[in-house]
Amino acid sequence: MWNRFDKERHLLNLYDNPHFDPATGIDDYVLLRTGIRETAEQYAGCSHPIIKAKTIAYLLDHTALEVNPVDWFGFNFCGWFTAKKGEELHEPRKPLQFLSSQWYGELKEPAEFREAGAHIDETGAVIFWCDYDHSVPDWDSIIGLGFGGILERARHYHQKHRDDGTLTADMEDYYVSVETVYEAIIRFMKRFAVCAKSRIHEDPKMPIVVECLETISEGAPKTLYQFLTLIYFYHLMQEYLDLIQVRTLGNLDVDGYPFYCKDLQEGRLTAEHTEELFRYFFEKYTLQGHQHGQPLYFGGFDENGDSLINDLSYIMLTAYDKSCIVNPKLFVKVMPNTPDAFLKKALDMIRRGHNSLVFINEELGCKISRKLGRTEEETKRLVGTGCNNFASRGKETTPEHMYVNLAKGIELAFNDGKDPRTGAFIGCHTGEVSNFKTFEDFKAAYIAQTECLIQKAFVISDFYDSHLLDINPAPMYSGSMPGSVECGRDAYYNGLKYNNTVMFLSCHATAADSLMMVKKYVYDQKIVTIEQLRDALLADWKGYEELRGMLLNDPEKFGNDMDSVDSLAVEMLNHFTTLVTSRKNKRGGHFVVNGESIWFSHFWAEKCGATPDGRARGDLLSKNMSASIGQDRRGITAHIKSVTKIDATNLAYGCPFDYMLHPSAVKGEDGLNAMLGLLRTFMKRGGYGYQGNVQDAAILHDAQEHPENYPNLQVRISGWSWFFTQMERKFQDEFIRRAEQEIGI
Amino acid sequence: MRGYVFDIKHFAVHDGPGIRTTVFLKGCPLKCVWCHNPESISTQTQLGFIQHKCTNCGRCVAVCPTGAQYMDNDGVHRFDRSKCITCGKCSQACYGKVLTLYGRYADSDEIFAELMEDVDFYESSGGGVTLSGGECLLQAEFCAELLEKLHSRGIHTAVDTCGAVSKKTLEMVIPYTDLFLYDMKAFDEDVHKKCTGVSNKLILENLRFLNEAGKNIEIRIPCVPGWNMDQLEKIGKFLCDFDHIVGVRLLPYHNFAGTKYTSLDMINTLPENLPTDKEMALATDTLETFGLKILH
Repeated sequence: MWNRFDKERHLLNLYDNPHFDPATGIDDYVLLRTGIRETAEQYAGCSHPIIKAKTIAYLLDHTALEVNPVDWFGFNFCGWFTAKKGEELHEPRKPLQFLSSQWYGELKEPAEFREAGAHIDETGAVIFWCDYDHSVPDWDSIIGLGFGGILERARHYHQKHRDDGTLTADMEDYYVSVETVYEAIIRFMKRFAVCAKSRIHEDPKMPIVVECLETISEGAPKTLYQFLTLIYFYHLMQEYLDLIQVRTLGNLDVDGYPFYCKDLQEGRLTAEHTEELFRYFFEKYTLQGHQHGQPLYFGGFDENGDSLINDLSYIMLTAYDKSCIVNPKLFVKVMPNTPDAFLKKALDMIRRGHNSLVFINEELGCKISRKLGRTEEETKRLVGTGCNNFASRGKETTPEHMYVNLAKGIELAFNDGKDPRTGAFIGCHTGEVSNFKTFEDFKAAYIAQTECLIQKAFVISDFYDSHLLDINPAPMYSGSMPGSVECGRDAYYNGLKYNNTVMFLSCHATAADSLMMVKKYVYDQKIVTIEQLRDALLADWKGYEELRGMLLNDPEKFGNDMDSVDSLAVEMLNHFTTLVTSRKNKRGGHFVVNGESIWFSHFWAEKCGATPDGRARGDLLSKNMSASIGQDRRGITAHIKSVTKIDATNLAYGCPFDYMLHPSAVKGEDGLNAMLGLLRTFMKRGGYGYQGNVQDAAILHDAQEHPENYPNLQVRISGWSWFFTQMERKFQDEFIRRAEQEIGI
Repeated sequence: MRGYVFDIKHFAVHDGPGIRTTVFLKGCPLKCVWCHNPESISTQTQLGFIQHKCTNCGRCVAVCPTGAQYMDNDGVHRFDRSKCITCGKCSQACYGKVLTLYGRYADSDEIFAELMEDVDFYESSGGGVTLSGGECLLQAEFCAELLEKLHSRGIHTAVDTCGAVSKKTLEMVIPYTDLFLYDMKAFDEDVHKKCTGVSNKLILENLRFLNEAGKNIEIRIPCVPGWNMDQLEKIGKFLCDFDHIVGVRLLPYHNFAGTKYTSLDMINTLPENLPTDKEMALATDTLETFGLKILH
């Protein structure tokens, strides 16, 4: 029975061809077009959490469903699939999106919000949106209690507040919404169980499936298969119904280990079958098609400080490696005592192009955790989440609304706060460049301009933070969070112990290089005047090619272990992170910083004019914590040294370093040991996230021309990997340029 | 003391254990036909010029004190090597690595300081420093001084040598060298002469000497079809009695260095044929039959 995962995995394409029995639910058009909207209207006048919960319940109670007997996770329901067809529906796979769109539309954006947001996106200065994409559900509750247990817990606190006389009207609505959703989920699971039971004779696995559905609808899972099924369901429903991305599937190797051991002991699974089960699970999961990937993480340490990497960690990594997928994406928490063998296994995967994996420094994570005021108990069990960062387990919600471009301030300092391309005034008045008599004058102008952008980002963020509950209450997610349920407040509305908000400060290397070049060429060596440099930048170097050549090829750039310029990067980041982290948000928390650039180094490229580091408009800005492309001329060791001069504890919510190595540099056992040495050194020096590519430029060129030959070629983009041949050409070109740099072209 | 260096490579992975920094010293007593570092052979400073990468910006012309760098009537940058005094001003002015100066004198303290920059990487990976060339032991005193400094700081040291040096030279570095990377290009003297221009008598003797001195030795054999691959059996037979050989690394010949020969105005002696995977597998098998450990 349990040795069928591999045999049946190839049938997974049936996922897209479900057959719903009309007796199980109503027509999809009626359900999604009319039914959910009428339900929402029926509860008009109620609070948003109630409207959302009732609509979710209606959808779950009425959607047609099937259990596919050939699929171990064949739990299909009509709304999900119909939405995918897309023609009739505005938001595929997000049937309740209309509610949050409507509720956002009902908000009155205050004048200061509109002023702050004016032109800062189109000019490549700040990107912002109201973020619900970074939740960390409490997997301890979900796995330990199951849906039934979560419902009972909500009822318990509901009653307690009633008894204590502390139940307000808002809290009443909160509890009703949580209970409504979880009651609906349990009914939904039971409907699946009935459906599975009706087909119990169609496949030998069906009794196991029925038992699983009955078990996890009531309470906690008892086997590894049930554990994974629960995770699968929870994830699907929070994203589908709550419209909140689940940004970690949890510590699967550690949390799954007791189930694995029990299955081994009771003869349900062997190690070999467990590998097949995980491979099945991963490939099933990837079919859901989340582009940026949701992570699961490996490792951690126990009360004695020993590594929690176990047999299941190795089994899962092997299964993932064989799958050639990019999603879910993997995090490995690294401590000094994380076994070399495990790290080398992961590094070898990266070396072979299976690189949907980031290493994150848990020792540093603990340091950050203490700095943020978390307790020792919380610090011991940090979650790997998002693209590459840590969070406390089940105790925080940290939206990421704003991305500030640190390089934009350079352009604004040259133009007295005005964006030259659009003519929009987005900064502050710092005067004509001719007034900058010293480098300190210029630097002060740059700081003032960047601070101005950060202040605007605060205003925007405050508005979003104040209305998270109005726009998209989160009954399902909140129900999983003990702190939220205990106090009766939504997890997005101050309901947790930690309610911080992330601000991204991106592209620091372009900013630091530009400052360095201004210092050196204008003020120290007086090769060019500040006015001439401004004119050259405004002309995008046309007529100033020689000057550009000098600046572009000057080696004094971030990424070469040169203190002169590295110290500028450190100084700027220290200054701006202090500014950001000392500011309180509107949810009772603080602002915290992430240094990642995601892929905005691309999106901002055309919007940002030439910069004094020799970059022309359209050239990429620097990516994540790394040097600008082509500027790390002294190799990866110097690059790592520059990056680790930055105090990563100030960038508490992530600051990954991206490397590119040529395959020949890391071939053989020597090469693998060298990769491990780089990783260990990076961690020892206090680096945060470590990710990268081992690519041959010739292969990438060939893949660009003959994509049919490279369907599985992966590249690490930012906090996720993707298939090279499925990327836009401009993104492909970036990787080719970086790979060519490794061989000195 | 000053050494005559032409390159320092950080994150060198295949020059000994762990992550290493390799110092390349200029000058070599051999002239192997397949040499992939032709800039290492001469003991004179040389200027490399890659015409096809030049953008004719003229910056080098502006700083050249002798007129060796000049623009022709069509505005194309030309280089008159006969006028060049290898002052290096042009290579400093050049953006695009079109002009590269090979060879500079550097104090052992200066080199030592640069090598120590990567000490964290050595510690994390069990790596260290490798001296290479050219033939680094042509500057044995400098090597000994640098190696001693490194050793005193607990840094693992390796010396990459062709072995065509005196015993006295070897004795100078033996106390401070943890590993010798020892090249074996051929066993038969006539083949060795044909390949490198010199006899291998001294090389074979020195290998025995190092072995008797109890030093760890990694043998490195460039595999060049048509030149030395028929020597592997004899090399294997010769090596199998040595008890301090930690392994043999087979280096498949590549011809990437053609541009360097052109840039230095040297006659390109690079053979055409590259070893196939099959030939490399056969070479591995041949040496393994003598009980030698092949390093990958």
